[in-house]
Amino acid sequence: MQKLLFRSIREHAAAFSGGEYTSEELTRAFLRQIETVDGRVGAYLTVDAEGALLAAREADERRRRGESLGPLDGIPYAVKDNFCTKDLRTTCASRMLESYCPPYDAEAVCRLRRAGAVLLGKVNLDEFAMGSSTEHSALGRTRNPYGEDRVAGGSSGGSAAAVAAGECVFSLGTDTGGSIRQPAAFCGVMGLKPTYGAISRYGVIALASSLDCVGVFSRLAEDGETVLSALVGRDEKDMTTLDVPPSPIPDRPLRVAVVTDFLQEGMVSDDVRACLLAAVSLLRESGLAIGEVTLPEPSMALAAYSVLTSAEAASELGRYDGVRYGLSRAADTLERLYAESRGEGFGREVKRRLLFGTYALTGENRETLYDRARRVRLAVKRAMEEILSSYDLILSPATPTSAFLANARRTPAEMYRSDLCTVYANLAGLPSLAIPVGVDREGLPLALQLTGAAFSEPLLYRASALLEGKHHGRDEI
Amino acid sequence: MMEEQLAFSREELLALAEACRISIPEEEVEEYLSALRGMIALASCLREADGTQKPYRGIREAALAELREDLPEESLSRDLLLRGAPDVKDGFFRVPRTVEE
Repeated sequence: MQKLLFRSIREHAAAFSGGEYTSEELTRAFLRQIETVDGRVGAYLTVDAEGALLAAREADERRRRGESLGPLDGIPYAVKDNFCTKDLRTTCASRMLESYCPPYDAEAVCRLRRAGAVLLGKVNLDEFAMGSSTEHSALGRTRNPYGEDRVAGGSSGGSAAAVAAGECVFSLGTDTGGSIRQPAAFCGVMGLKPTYGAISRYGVIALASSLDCVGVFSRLAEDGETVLSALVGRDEKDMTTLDVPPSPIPDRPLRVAVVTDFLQEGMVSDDVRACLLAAVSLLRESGLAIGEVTLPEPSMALAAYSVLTSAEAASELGRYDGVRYGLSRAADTLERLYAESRGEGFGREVKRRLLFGTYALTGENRETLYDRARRVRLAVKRAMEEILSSYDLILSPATPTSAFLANARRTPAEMYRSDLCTVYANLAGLPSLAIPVGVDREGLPLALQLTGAAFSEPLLYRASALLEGKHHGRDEI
Repeated sequence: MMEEQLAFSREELLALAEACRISIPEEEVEEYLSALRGMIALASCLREADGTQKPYRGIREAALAELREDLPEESLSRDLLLRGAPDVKDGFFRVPRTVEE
């Protein structure tokens, strides 16, 4: 049974066509796996067994009639619980939206429905996608399939853990500063943050609109590429989306820039550093041209990211006030109603960031923090684009460490350092892929990250084959 | 940096909470104060950033040029939209009073 759950999309599609098993049988196998392991993993917030089986039977019927919708027809997947799903509760892992049931699907979910994919359910996240561990979910903690005492990463921790634990074939998440790549790295699966504007965010509950991206978790590169191709393209309901064909893959040896900032003492763990150096040797042996580059000061990039996301979040989440949206608490004045509803509906991490975002937009801080952050962002974008005018890919660690211990006492500022390696791609709007490459001395997954020019996602997936380790999720939970 | 951290006072936190419309119980004030001081310290390097550089302008002009036409089109039905409402009166959302007498 375990092997079945860890097969590729192509293998499942071939098995459907060859009559080895049906989508309904495969969906039932995933539902059993969820029932068996999710009590320990805690990836799912809502399982829609009835809806999934109905969709699977429809896929089987289409196949019998010779009307299959393509490679994703009948393939079970999960989606982060900040994507609206019609008549299926969408909580953002927050008390604020605990009972919200949207009347429509997010565009990404619509596109997967049209491709015949089978939605198994909604998976956990840090509340409103704010966090790096999925410990800041109001609805329960997600554990790392590689060690229950370890975090799954975040904010898309449920999406990563579900793929790693064989609880779905692939999943969707969102990435604002690393929320796909960091949990993918911690759980030993692939996580793609595509180019800003590649996939519609319509129906995805916003954290910071100028940075938010929808992306894909998969065990294999080929699966990720298949899912991505069903999602990309212009959507009139999200004005930032563009119809741009993927960049062609060069037919010469690739040129790879290695970010040396992360090789400095104290920037990343010894295991991560060794992993990066081993990858560089491997790429050199494969005949690739390797160069060394530096990025704008990491602490400056992290600060800019932190200010921009918090400021945007303070604005985006203004609508959850107990009147227009979200949990509502009675009070003797309107101001008290707002304050009590938001005070009770939001968790501590969300409140910290809303306070900080408001601070960054108040008085002279608007110039000395928020506007400066926008200037740093443009400098990062230009620096990345300049590197990519001479190189095809930028190689760096995906995270400074492997998955850290759950319940560890970390200050918010220490927690934000988890995003140190990933925020650059978000600030620059570039695609970036976390690739599992091995395990550390404690047996926890380690990952590297490839970043490319805008719309170079196919190149990232193809190039990942040069680095990939043998770990694509844990088959013994 | 340390001076700036310490300069962020309890009074400023409470004013910020009021601006954010977030209630903070008295027993959690110190915790938020400490967290905010840490976040301010993390961001304080930005004050040293070059203020003469151009700022990032957000959503690309190309995307702005592609706004869809502003035409009426079929949307979600009133019944469907009201299905999720906490309270409904005469076919409208019923919300807490926002205009005080």
